[in-house]
Amino acid sequence: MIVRSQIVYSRLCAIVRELAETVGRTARSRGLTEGRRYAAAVLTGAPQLAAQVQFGPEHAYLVRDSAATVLDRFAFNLFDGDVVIVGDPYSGGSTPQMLTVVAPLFFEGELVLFPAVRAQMADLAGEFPGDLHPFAAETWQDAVRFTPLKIYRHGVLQRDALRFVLRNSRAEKIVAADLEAIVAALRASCAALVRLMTEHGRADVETAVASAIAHSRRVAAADLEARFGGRDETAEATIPGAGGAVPLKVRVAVGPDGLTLDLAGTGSDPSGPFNMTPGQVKGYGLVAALAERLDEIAFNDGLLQLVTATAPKGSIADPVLPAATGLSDALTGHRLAALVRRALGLAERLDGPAPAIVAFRPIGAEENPPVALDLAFPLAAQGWGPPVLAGRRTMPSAEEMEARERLVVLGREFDETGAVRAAVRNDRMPLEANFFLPQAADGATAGSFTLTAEGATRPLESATIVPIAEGGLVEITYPAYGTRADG
Amino acid sequence: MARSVRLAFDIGGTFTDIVLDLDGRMVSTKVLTTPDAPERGALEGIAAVLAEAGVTPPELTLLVHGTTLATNAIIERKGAKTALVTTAGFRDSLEMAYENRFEQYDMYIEKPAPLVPRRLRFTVQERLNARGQPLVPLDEAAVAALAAPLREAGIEAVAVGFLHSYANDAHERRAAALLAEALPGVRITLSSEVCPEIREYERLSTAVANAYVQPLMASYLVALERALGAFGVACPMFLMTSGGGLTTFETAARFPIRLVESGPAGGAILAASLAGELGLGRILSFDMGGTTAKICLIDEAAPQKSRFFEVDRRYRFVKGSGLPVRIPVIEMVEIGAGGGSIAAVDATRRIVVGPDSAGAAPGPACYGRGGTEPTVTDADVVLGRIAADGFAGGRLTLDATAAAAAIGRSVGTPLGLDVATAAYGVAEIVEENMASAARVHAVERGKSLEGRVMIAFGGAAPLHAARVAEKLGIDTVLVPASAGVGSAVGFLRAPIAFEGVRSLYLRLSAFDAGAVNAAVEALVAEATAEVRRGAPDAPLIATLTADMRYRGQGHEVVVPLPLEPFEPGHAPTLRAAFEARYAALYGRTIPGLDIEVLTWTVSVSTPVVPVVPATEAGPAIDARSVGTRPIHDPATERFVGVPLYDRAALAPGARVTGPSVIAEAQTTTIVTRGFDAAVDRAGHLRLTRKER
Repeated sequence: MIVRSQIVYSRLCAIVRELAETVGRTARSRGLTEGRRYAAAVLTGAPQLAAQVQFGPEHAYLVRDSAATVLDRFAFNLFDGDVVIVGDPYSGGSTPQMLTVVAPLFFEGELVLFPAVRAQMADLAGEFPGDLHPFAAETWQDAVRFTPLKIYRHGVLQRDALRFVLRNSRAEKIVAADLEAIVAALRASCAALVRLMTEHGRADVETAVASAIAHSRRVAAADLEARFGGRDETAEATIPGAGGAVPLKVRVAVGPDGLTLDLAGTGSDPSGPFNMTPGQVKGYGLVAALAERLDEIAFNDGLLQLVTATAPKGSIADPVLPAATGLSDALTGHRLAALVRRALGLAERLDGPAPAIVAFRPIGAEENPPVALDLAFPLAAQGWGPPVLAGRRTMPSAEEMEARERLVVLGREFDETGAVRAAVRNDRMPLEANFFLPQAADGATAGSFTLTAEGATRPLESATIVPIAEGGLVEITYPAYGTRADG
Repeated sequence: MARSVRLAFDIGGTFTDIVLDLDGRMVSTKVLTTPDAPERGALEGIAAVLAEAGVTPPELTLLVHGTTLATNAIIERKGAKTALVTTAGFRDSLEMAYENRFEQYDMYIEKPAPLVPRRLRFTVQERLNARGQPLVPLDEAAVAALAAPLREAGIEAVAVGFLHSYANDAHERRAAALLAEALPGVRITLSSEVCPEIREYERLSTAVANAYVQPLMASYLVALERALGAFGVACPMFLMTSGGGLTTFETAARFPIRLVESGPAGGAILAASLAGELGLGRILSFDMGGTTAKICLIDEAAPQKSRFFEVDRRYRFVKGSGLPVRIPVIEMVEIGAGGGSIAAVDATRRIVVGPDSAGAAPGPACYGRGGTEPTVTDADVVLGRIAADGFAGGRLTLDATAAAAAIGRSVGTPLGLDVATAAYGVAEIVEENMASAARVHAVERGKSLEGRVMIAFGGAAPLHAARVAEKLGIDTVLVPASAGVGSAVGFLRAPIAFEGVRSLYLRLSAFDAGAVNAAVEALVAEATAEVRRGAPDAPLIATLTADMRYRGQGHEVVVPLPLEPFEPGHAPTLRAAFEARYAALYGRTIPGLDIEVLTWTVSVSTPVVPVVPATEAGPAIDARSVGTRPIHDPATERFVGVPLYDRAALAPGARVTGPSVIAEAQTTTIVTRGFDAAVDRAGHLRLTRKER
């Protein structure tokens, strides 16, 4: 039975991997094809997370939590062939351009297993194209909120609903292509799940999933207990809020049942973009505590069951509508993970916030697909590649970026400190861009920007709607959080 | 009529396989590889085979060679001291790679060190744009000034790789000329010559890898040619490439990176050839040896090709953990599942098998050479699939007690299972791993496994083939004759071939037929010239493919296109071809979205060696067993006594009912309860699923 369960569960994991691969291969936006800002999962009817592939740690809880919102909202109104989207920081999500797409699947009349994908869209309204708003005070400045919405009913496209989604994007064609790719991949996964349950029997599949979840929980709990059992420590830092420094404080306790995060003492910042939702808090806590084991343990609900978190309502760890959350993954998640590891006595850093730029045509263009200028990466504390919390994104080829976007990468090299210096020239058309320069833990900025345009060179900090004239040159320094391992 | 006396030898890491085809009669042997001078061991083996066949070296009419020497040089970092000259601003491209964390949470993720360290990576001012137009002229003085530090560093090979050189190679050629003049004797590789494709990291990586192995391979090939000449060999000689085609020594010396992975390519060529011989339209080639299993899908006797391979993966079989090279390769999936793959129980109480392997030394516990960890071979011994005596042609007696102890200690005890059940678990998991790899491989390529015939070869494949076939719903398994040296046999069936490639980025909405025609004509000329070196008079076959994608996507689809001049109005034809392939892969198209073409590829080859179709079998004969053997039956999960057959004694037409065991010198075929077996006229063993 052990062997049979293992084989069935490995088949299920293969279905999820295939779902993730297909989305990456067939999506159109750079955020998915290169940035890999998405996760793919199969869930049970409960819903519990049966298996998940995530290319960044921010998704840990949020596919399940978003799917739970869908099941709750539609309760007895879900059918085979339905496809439901949800993208709302206050409905199980986090940052607003992330849509979770759920495909309910009924086997023998019941919701046994079903696939879901959580993915960042290129643009879903908000104040600026591309959802990089370093000063957002309200969630609607980041993007529009999508509470659960059926875009397919019984397999039939709901054109009015889809039109509503797409008309709220400045990158309508790209969002449409990405959604089509995701829906097609979900349909293929549904077919594969039906084959799996038909071949092995529903009972065996359910047993295998339950067994895998129990295993993951047991193994991870034992690991936490062995490494940190009885530990109860508090760590704190600050987040740069709209009105000044905001305390982020976490008490971390490890017991036989897992990890408890108590964020009492964490402040609020209702007018800044660094608020993180409860699901994010648990996710960054989980990854921080278990990073050394996560490549070995099956990622499923067994892990998610290990973390409990409480935070003051209205704080940056449990904000209330309409607080903005757009930069929570970019900064607060990193800071929280660092605090949890410090509290657990773990010296190795996973965090490493990075500068970010999103360019677009001058505001006012009807179709205005944004371009993320993710030219390079900060050096991880361990001396190779990007930090763990940067996820599994890939860097764009300079040649391809030039051929495709007419943005000429003039170089990207390590400097003597291990920081990566990159430069890009706009040979395309007049552009505008938003810049986000995160604050490091010591209060200094992490990295730097310089803009040379029309004969003048100036440093930049976080800013919005900065014109980049044709021929304008942007230089970016990505910080080094460690010493470069010599090649 | 002149005799056909063709010889192939495949130098592997441990063994060198030699096969002689004497007018259709096969003589083969395996000898130990001699790493200090690989040609020495090969010549000894060749001499032995020729002596056995009664043939002298001058009588050979063709010689084909495959080697892992280039791969080993990279893995062991025993190549030339190499420098890179690249565009200012891109000194670290080789090291940054694409920053992909292939093991997401591994903080100390281990990447292969670049073949050229930072101190040997030099930059010069120059720049082209994506259309190949110069933006910054080449700083020739700066190039010339590099001669001194390169000489001082004792550089043996230089890779020159400039941005956008796929579109215009003028700067690279000029830099190479300046360096060659200043550094006579130093070998120079141009990225525009070895890999004229867009995406600088992969192009530079390929160029550097080629430069790194070039001096070694060039000297080796010269030494080999001389040694063979001195031995009396006077026939045409070719090398097997990773793309499944043969090439001349001269071309191989220029592009030695194309020789990596030639062994597995030979296996795939064998399977494809057998498919043609037996009239099998769609097959799954299953090659399982001591360390890995290779699975390849072949339709209409033509293996699928790819242009991406990774050498020196630090995390075995994990994509992204190696050095990428863009060369023609046969598309296959390789996983760490072989007879020597080590089994264990992981932290989550799951049985895991591979990718670590016990190798030949110390080997599986049952070899009795100091190995203590349980392997797939140990599980096979416990399950009765492999007999303790008579292994490897009788050269090794296996220790069944040691096998049982290892399985019990490392798998049974931790899971609370008896030894047989634990061994069954190991076998099931490795078989499921291979079946799973086959499923994913098929899905990723838009192929179905339904209705395919499995061709199983390599020492371990016949032991597991039937069970893997059951898992995949495959009804027929073919275990060919002389399967133990399958790759070398495949070498003899490969055509002489060359693949030329060029990136020419364009959108179909702005299709430039003139530019495409010029690029394709140049590619045809280049590939034809290379093939003509080895086949001056043979008829040639040329094919064209393009790497295409919907605008903005990050993953291209290889689309076969007619090789004929394009007209300005041909964009819809290309679109239709792309969408047919895309729909086959992903089940849909995206109407109205523009399509991009990145790269054009022309393959020119001689026709595949014709084969005489074999009839399936002679009149049915009931085979006579030579005894019984207790084996573990997966259907009932207990031991049952089953008939044992000696394959050498099975005449064409012999029928065997499963469950049963068919033993031969190099391997054993397990006929499970779900299959029956028969021997065809060519001596191949064909397992057929019983009526269900």
